[in-house]
Amino acid sequence: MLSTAVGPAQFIGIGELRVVREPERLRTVLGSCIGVALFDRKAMLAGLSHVILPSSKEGSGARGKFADTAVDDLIQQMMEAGADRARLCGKMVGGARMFGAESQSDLGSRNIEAVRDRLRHHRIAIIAEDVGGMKGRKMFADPATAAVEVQIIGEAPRVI
Amino acid sequence: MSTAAPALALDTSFKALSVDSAFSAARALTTWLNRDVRLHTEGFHSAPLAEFSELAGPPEEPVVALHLPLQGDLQGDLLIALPEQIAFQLVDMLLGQPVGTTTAFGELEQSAMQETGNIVGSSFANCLARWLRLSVVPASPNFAYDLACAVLAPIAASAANLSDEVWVNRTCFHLDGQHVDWRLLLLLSESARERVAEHVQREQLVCYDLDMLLHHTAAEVATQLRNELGHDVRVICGDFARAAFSELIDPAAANGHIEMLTAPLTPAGAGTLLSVTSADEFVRFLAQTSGGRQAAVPLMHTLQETFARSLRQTLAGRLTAEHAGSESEPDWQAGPAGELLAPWAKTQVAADHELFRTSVVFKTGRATFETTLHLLLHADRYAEMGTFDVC
Repeated sequence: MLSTAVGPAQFIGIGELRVVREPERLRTVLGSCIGVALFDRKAMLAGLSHVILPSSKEGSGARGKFADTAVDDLIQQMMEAGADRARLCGKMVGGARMFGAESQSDLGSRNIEAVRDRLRHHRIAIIAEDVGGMKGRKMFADPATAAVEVQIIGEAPRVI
Repeated sequence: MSTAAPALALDTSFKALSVDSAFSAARALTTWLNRDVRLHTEGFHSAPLAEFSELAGPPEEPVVALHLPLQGDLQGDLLIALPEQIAFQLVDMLLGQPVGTTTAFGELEQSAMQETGNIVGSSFANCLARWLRLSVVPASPNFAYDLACAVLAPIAASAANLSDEVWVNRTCFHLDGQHVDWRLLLLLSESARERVAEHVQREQLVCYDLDMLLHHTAAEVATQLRNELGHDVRVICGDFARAAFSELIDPAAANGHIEMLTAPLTPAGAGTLLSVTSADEFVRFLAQTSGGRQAAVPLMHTLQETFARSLRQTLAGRLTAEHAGSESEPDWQAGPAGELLAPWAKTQVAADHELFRTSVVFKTGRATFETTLHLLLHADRYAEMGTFDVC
């Protein structure tokens, strides 16, 4: 099991993405956003993107904000760091409906679908996911094991 | 329309707006909690998305968040965030139970928090609406007990879809004199930000107009002062800027003795000049210039009334006939700043007045004396002034 006490993990803020090699790790906090993690276990590489919006066609600005452009850039950065595209696999976390049923639009669900579509477009398998619901999540990604730990307030941590 | 040009005006005008909004919310919260609550606002600034993750508190810490989407003419979001332990204490306070009783958020606790959000958000939004002359309607507060970064996600999505920076106003709270880590965030949509910029540009034109009136008046006053004192006196005016009523009284100088002139500039109180002067300072100034201490206060009165008369005449050329000119006499009061200004400010806010402030400095030789002028215009007359072209 992945423990939050093992080594430092770099925090990925809203709209950011980064790739690290073992022993470094990555972490973020998600509400309606999606944490998209890509792994190449053999190369001991992990990349994590904090996506906030489904499509770059709906807005403008940094590519890391949007599901389509963020996934494209994350793959590119993994390759530049030495990953083998054929070995890439993905895990995704987040997409909650924050503030309950009264919130304006189901942004979380649209983010989930957008990330799935883009990974499918690149023929990258999603081997695990922890998405939806109405609670925020902490997410930790470990390049050594390709494990992702998810923590929700009031629940036991789980590894996917 | 570009929002870059009026950056300076945005800074000054919206700092004052933020201060007034925060003051209004603090008063409402003081009544609601029966405790002394003060809000300190940082004004608006652009936060890069990377920094945005920390605006509601340390991103991985649990917070109680109340989200009030703004509707009407000005669209955006109000978010109030409190660390969970502080929120528990607040609920205990509201429910009249010993601190430490609340350890979870059931229906009653959520309701107490939502009502708090309603009170803070409504007073903040009402002040924005009054100032901007726009409809600003906060929706009912949505409650979340979650991680600080997670509660920001839906707000970031709506505020940052067109930009990599979020225009945010952050306000912090003090309870009974102690800083408490409550945060009030106001985020405006791109279109709301443009409306704000348009409003500020209009306001800037009014301030230019007022500056011209003041400089014209200063020349007259300098002449009069020269005649009274027998030597040259420079009268240097600052620029008028929108001011917050809640900043009228400097807490550090609340007990200081002031001379306060209120001079109606237009009928029915549509425009008023308020001059706040430290009588002691003026006596010291005159003592250094001519030694005429006995004549100091009457002379100061004459000077301020000259300002008022001159402004009244100039305003008459700016306003329609029915609103121009006034035969009312100026009124002088003397006493501690806090006692004189607090009730006066309360009346003016209720009467829907806009407040503009500048300083006037008198210099002769090495002696300097500074007074503060406040010009109040009724909201409707202020709008009327905004229609004039300024060369």
